[in-house]
Amino acid sequence: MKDYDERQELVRGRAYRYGFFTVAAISSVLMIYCAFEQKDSVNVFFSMLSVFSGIVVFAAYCIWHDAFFTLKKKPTSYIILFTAITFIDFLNVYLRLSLHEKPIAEHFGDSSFALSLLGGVTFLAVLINILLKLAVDRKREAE
Amino acid sequence: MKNLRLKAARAALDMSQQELAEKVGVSRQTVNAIESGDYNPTVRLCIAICRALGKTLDELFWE
Repeated sequence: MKDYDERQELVRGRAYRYGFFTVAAISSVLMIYCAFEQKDSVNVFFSMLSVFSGIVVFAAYCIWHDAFFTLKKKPTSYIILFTAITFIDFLNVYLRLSLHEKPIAEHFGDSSFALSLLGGVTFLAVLINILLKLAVDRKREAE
Repeated sequence: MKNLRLKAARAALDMSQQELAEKVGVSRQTVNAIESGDYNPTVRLCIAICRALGKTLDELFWE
């Protein structure tokens, strides 16, 4: 048995396209910003922002079109995994902020802080989408 | 366009969307999308559904 059925594979292909366009659009805006501001580079946070935004778009589209979970796995395992990842990411953000006392803007150049913050927000967004979709499905089934 | 013939054939066998989905190896939401006309299945899936319900392609999918 395949992981996804034919409709889910189509939806995932479309979601991938939207995710890719999101990455391209945000990267373009950043490049234009760098060109106008005459900056040689942007910090880690902004350079990775497009990638994580693309992930959120891909995941959200799949979730709301019933193509995120495989045919065999149940949402519970994903919820547990994403909750753990979100917790670890935000814990690292908290530790970085409390251990290294410097203006918050300077933390965005720190790759560990930036990636943890982006990862935490990304997985939290995916988690919220999953929980909302499950609630909507349950409501529909009850009606 | 809704596929009411598929829904009727499934209901005649007292089969739920979930049971049909498991028989043909797709998700319940995909069966629901086919019945509500939101998704046009491939011939391969149409044949699998026909076999599961004991019907012909003409009976279930031909206009």
